[in-house]
Amino acid sequence: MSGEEEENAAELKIGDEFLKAKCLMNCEVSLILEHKYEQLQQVSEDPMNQVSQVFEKSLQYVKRFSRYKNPDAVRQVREILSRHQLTEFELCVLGNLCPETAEEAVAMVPSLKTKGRAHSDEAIEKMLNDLSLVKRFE
Amino acid sequence: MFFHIVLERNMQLHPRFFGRNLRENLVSKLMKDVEGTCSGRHGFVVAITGIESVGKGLIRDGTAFVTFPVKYQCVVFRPFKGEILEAVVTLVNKMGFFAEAGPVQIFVSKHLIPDDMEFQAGDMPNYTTSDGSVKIQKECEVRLKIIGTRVDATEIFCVGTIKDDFLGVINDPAAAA
Amino acid sequence: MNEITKKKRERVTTPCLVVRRSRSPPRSLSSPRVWFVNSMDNKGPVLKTVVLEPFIKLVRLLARAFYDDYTTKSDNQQKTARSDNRGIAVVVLDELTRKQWVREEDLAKELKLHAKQLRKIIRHFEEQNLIMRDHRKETAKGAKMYSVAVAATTGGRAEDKVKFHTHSYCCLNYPQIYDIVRYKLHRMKKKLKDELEDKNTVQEYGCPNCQRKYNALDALRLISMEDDAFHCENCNGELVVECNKLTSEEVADGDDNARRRRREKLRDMLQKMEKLQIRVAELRCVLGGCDVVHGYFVVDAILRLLSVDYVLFFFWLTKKVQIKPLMDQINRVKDLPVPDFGSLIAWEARAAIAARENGELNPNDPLRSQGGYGSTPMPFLGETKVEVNLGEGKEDVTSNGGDSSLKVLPPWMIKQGMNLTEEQRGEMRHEAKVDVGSSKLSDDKKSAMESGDAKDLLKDEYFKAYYAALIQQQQELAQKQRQEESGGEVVAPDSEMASTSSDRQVGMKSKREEEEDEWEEEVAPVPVAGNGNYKVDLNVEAAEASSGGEEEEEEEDIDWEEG
Repeated sequence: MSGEEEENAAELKIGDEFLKAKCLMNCEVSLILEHKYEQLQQVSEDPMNQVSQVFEKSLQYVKRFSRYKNPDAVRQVREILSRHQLTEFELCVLGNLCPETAEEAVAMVPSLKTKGRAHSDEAIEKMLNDLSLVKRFE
Repeated sequence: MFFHIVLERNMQLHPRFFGRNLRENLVSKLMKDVEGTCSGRHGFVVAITGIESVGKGLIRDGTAFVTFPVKYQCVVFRPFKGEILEAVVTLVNKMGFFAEAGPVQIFVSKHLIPDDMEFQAGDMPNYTTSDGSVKIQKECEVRLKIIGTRVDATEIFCVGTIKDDFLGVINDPAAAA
Repeated sequence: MNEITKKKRERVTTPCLVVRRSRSPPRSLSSPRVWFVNSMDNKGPVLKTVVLEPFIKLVRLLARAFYDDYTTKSDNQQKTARSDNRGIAVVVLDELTRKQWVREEDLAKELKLHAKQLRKIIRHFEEQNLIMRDHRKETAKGAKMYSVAVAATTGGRAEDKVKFHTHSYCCLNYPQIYDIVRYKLHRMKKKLKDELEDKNTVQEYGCPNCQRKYNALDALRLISMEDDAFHCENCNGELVVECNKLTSEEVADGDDNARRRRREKLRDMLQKMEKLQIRVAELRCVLGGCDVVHGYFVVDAILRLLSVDYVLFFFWLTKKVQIKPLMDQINRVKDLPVPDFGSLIAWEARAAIAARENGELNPNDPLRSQGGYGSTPMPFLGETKVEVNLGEGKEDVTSNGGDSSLKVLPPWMIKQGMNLTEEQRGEMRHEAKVDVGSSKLSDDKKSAMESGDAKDLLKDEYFKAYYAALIQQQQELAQKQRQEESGGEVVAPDSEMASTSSDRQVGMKSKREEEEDEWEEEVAPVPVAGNGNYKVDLNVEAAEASSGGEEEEEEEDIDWEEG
């Protein structure tokens, strides 16, 4: 049983270090990276040359896959999700993928249904509904 | 998944960078050193967002260099086995397809593509269902699950699947256009 | 054992309402079967009773299901019949279920393993969290602490002269074991299911030219600019898809349609399995003597008749290991309090207190065996015996204690009877009867403790012959014993015999007391060499272990019929 073999995000086995760490949704990363990119633009003529490939690819990625663009919406999404006793990781998966049904949400985040956790389908539906409202009024 | 974490690094600085701008020099060197790197443990370091603390410098014996322990906040990207994420298809061939999720590359082998999708060679190689309703080709967006990661000192590579419920193509730019 | 101690035993054992399966009855406070934990809550120390038995069984099943094939040899080493030490891990784990904390060198001696070899195995288990270890630089005082603890938990007496060395101790990590078993079962089921459904498996590729193997994680390195295919890094040959093991056979050419057909068939099969209600007995009819079933053809036919947990079924087909008993056992253990011996230090301290309270520790007690060969007596927790109970869910702690019909007595058991002292003879006289008929030769005794050592096999053969010859003699002796109340009779073992058995008794002295109790139920004590130097042959355990193994096998079969 190597450490790698044990890793399984579906069961929240992502290592203590990451389980306790602050997770970021794509939309949040997008805000952070764009802010940083703007700062670079102010001091440099050619900011794209200043950043690493990892930065560039990440920025493209999060811009493409951000469900929410405006900072207020991003804040609301986190607030809604954090009312539901989710771990950081679960919260961000839901925020990134925006499942439409409870069934889909559980397929994306199987740990929602692990024993001892009180996430009924109704509660999950309600949460997803709240998220879609944010999106609609963004 | 992206994380915001605190990491620590011992920075060695030459005395010529000392003086009023020592801290600035330290930070810009740190950014140059760590942004864009990848470690198996923490994943890809995307961007440094802040400095937590700079410790007391220690002169290294026999050299003029001084070592400063620096704690910094950064955004990292670390894929996990079992994680579901969205990615952009970059290459399609008869063995399967490659996709990219930020800095990480993911390969989906043919047997982890749903059975009802056939490979079509040509200018724009793709996997298509028999009724033509779903097509996987370059630039389309897929939702996939990571089933294996290969982590070495400087690289992370993933193997994924789209053969499960709620996985597969989420948006086909060709179809949209 | 006199009446008083017997009463005392009963008194201590009643509160836990457990009928013991073991033939070795519990010793007073620190019975090997029942461990009392002093938990400190605000009401002061509370005596909790933890029944070890189900956990021991769990460990033994675990050992057989998952560590059967463990070998200390690495794959590239040439495997000869002689160096093949598979099964060794099972032996070690079994032995550990009879102990609490044990000094590793003593364990090595007892199992006749090289210390290095044992360490390797133990380290392996430590990595898996099955075993707790403790290392310490032993001062005379430290060694004494351990000896005292052993004495308290066994009633035996430890060797006093211990050198100043770093000693390692180990103990089964019972609190972890439940989770480990659950995790292992879970992983195995998932893996099988994935493989069956062709899901979550990392595709493998092979080079037809140089036979190199790759998998999908190498994809980035294998992709070629010229064409669509993956190419071997070594010879640039075009790689082909390797078909997975369970469902291989026909699709070696990597033909996609064939692959799809196969998968469809498999899926179809899975559905059938889930739907149909057919008994396992029928499976046995179909399979008959069929050892290994390849591909799905046979399976498909069988599945028309069957509906079993298909994951279990496939595991059984592929690995030929019965994991159902393990799963049953884990369910039984689920709500039981977990035995926890604590750290070595805590264990010693507790044992010391227990001993003091009992006033039990008397190194000069004539009933205790004399140390010899530098051995340290171990707590003896009963013989290796894995039982598989079927059907009923509540049988976990019920006993088959006095059921000697299950236990095939090897002849050397009777030889041990000969080694008993006068006191023992005296107190056991009334129950003693020699049942030579039941002492058949156990053929696979060798496997359990000797780990297939050819030399020991020879020895065993020799013993068989020797004991067979002795049986008659013993019968006569026993008869005589029954007539004379104080048998001062001595049968001197011939010198060769003595020397052969002496190297088998190392480290086993302390078991005498437990084992004498077993003999009450099973074997007549026959006196030999009444000089107080008791010999306890290691083969006792081997025999018990192997007969336990036989039972296990038999019952596994039954399990399939009834489960």
